[in-house]
Amino acid sequence: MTDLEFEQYITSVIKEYGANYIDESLIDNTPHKFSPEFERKMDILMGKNYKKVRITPKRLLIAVTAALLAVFILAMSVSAFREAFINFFMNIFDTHTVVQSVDDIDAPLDFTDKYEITSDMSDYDLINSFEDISNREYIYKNENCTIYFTQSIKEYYHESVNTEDYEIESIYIDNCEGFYVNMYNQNGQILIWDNGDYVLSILVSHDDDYEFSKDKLINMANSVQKVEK
Amino acid sequence: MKRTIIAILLALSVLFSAGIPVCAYGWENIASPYYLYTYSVKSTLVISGNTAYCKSEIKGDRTVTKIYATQYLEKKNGDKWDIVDYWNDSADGNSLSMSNSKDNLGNGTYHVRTVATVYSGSKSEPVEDTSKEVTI
Repeated sequence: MTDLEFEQYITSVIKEYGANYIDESLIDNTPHKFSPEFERKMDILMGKNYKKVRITPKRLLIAVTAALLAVFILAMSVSAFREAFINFFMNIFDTHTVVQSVDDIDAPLDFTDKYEITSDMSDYDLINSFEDISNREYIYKNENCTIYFTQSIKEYYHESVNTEDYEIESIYIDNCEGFYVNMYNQNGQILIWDNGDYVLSILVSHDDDYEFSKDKLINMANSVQKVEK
Repeated sequence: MKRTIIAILLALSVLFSAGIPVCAYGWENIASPYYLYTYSVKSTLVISGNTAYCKSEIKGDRTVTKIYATQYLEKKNGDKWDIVDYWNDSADGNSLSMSNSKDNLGNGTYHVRTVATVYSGSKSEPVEDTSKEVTI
């Protein structure tokens, strides 16, 4: 049988019997309906966009206002970041950092132990010292420099430190965590650390032409010890 | 429509006028909102029994000539803080320490807020610090 003969045979068979072999139940006579989303996408593809967005003055004003508000809020907001040290909570703002001690139920609530700088302070005069319910402080001074050594009860410790444009440097004093800020624009340096029982700090304030090195401050801090009183 | 435009313009003018004084202070260096002269501000609240011991300390650099400070003892009331008492103090020089106490406190949560103006000659800056909260 040639191809032509085969085709003619098939055609004749379909014409004679084909209708009887069609299962009517398989035929869905309902017309197909596309989803609105499909229709919308097809319209866009075909360039038939019936709903053109009209930029009315009201819409323009709302858009401009929203943009201006966003810029304004961004510009005026004070950015605060929380820095995690082990012994301190730090909220870092644009101009300063709020530092507070982490709660420690084992830390003493009084000055049973008293700490002092034990390195040679003969270049300075002790001009003041006091103790109250939350702090003990020694103030040393010479003609170029003032040094504040403070021992604070951890439970109450909360301080705002100038860190505007200054770096907060993590530092360890006698294996105790602390931080150092060189306030070079103001001829000041501060070193604050937690010795496990108390928050200790040394603040140095000096004249423009007086050099007080970071190493000197660290050595001074390392000399801080419990004293018998 | 017209009312909406007017309302939006009014809101914008209020917002921007709020920002102007901050910038103006900065330009004239009368009272900039920056830590230009202050090293640190410390606020401490200790409550023993029903008595509050409030302490505020402000330390400035060697150019600081005067410090004015107000110390507020405040009690928490919902989302806001009510002033229980306050004290003013000032010092000639670059450090100020002020201590005050208040008896017969009722139960509640308290803190001490220190608001100070630090002067370096004719220039000044406002600084603030708030202590840890204490509940009795």
